[in-house]
Amino acid sequence: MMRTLFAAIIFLAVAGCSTPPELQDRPYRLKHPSWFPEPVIPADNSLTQLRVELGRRLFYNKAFSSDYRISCGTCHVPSAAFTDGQPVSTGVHGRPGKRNAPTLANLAWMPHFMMEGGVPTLELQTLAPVSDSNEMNLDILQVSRRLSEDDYLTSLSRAAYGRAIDPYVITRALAAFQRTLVSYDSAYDRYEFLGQKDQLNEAQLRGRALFFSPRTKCGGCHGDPFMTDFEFHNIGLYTTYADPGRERVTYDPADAGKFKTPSLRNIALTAPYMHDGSMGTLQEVVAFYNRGGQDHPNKDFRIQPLGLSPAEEADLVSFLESLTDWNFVQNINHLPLED
Amino acid sequence: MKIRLLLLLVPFILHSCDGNKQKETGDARVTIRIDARVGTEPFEPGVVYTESNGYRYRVETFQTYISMLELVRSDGSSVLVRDFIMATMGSPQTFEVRVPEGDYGSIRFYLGVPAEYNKNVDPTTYPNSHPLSVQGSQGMFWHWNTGYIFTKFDGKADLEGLEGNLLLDPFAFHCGDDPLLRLVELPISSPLIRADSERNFQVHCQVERLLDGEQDQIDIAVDYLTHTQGNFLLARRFMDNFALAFELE
Ligand code: HEC
Ligand code: HEC
Repeated sequence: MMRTLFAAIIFLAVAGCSTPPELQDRPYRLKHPSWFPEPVIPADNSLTQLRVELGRRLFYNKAFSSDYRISCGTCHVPSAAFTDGQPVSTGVHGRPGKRNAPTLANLAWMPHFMMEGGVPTLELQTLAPVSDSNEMNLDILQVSRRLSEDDYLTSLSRAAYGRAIDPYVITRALAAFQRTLVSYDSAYDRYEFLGQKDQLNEAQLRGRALFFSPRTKCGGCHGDPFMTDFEFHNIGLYTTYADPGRERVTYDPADAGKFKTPSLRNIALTAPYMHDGSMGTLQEVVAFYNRGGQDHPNKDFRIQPLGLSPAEEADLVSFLESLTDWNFVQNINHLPLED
Repeated sequence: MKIRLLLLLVPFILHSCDGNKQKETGDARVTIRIDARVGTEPFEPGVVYTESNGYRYRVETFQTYISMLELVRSDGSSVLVRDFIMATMGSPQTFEVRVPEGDYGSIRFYLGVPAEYNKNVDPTTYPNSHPLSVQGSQGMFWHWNTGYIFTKFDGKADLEGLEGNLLLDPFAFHCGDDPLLRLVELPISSPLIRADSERNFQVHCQVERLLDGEQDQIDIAVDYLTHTQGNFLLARRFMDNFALAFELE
């Protein structure tokens, strides 16, 4: 009896010592500017260096898709502000998806996920693409088994979360990494919040004034600091929508065609636009708003013909272009890790 | 957050209370067997049945969450028998509990998962053996609209009157979301359960009543598909029929 106990203690001591020094975990400080509120991080997934590293490795890991061809990073590409440049994303086996891949910037502040807002946490959001037969088409338990074959990922998982790779670890680690994707350093931010008045040119200044004016009301839904109100609106894109939008989770016909307002941060890099990727350029989007959208019983009252001149349309587009954060899209900490 | 954690613990605490009672002498042993039938025969997936319009149909999947299975005393208090059950209908399950002598007026349970365990709850936080875990839920979870699929009833029917067992017309009822939770309460005809005795209850789900319900008839030639979203009303009609399809023997 004593001997087994002794052996167990020795084993534990050895196991403890055998953790390589690089797997010591430390808290991760999420950098965000003074004009963002404090993010709410779930108590069971506080950010640490190793959790973020594990999430980053998983984000680019192709074992997530049934055909080993697709990772999260296939549809959420850093240089395109984590979108993929396609109208609707192509999933496993080249199957077309149904929606346009959204940016993943500033998810730490997002109150609900997916375009109809049916997912309450970033942790739970991970389950959606993995099991969607149009996206990754794999069961997360199978993903766990595949990932567990990797010794390094397994030791990362143990060091970061104190347990082997399982759906809990996968969802937490991916959420941890994604919370570090913070974008706040556009020309507009420097102008507006840091007082660097040379950051916006004349056209952009005129566009900014229009954007936040009662005339266009753009800022009412795409306001500071995230350039979205995170609410659901029908902007009159169609008279009949193929995609029910918010109605899908509320079953209320008054919510048909309502989608979560997308953030306009890095908008110049995330074409094509709208939930179905139906608009190719910002010029097209602005011209659409200028016409006032199509008739739909649920259309938001703010979407009305605006009577913008071609020059004013161009100014709005220039302003939208000032929302690009080059440091965000070039941040090397967001890229795949070399082994 | 704290409150939710506490709520999660409640069934375990109740459970352990029951466990303690097991050691007391004088308790009665009660079993509750839940099965599914068509008429008086055991229901079997894959077997061809005929519904009231004369259409032949075959059920391929019939699964449901049953939660908070309780024995209710005549004074309104209750004994929890099992908190969450993933029931594959066609494979009967029996649950056992020890209870002190008393009057037990009914057996009560929910079809589905109560709201506090449904929305904002993360299946990855349960151990694999738990019916609400990723593994235990066996795919009965909506990923794009967080929450459990309460009931799946899938199969094929023959609406054209073809020969043989060639059933070509699919039907699928996938129901789940807070407004679809249904409470079933089945009165016990002789409520007194004596000390040191044994009582066995049989709860039957009459499968034919899912379509040909007591108050509503679902015609699978017209109403054959709901994933709750897309046809919420049909999901509601189905769950209403389902809730009235149980009998206690
Ligand atoms: C096949 C392309 C594809 C893959 C692979 C993919 N996504 Fe997505 N992602 C999308 C699309 C399209 C949406 C929009 C879905 C919707 O709202 O219905 C989306 C939405 C999201 C959102 C919600 C953003 C918001 O604004 O609500 C997050 C977070 C996300 N994806 C993270 C991930 C992660 C993590 C992975 C890897 C596990 C991943 N995605 C894999 C295409 C993809
Ligand atoms: C009533 C709220 C509301 C107002 C006002 C509004 N938007 Fe939008 N905007 C939305 C919603 C919601 C979407 C997504 C619609 C969809 O996909 O069906 C959107 C989409 C966009 C997109 C595409 C984003 C993407 O990533 O696909 C751009 C660009 C845009 N809006 C710019 C503007 C501009 C410029 C104005 C002012 C002329 C404006 N919006 C006014 C709510 C609004």
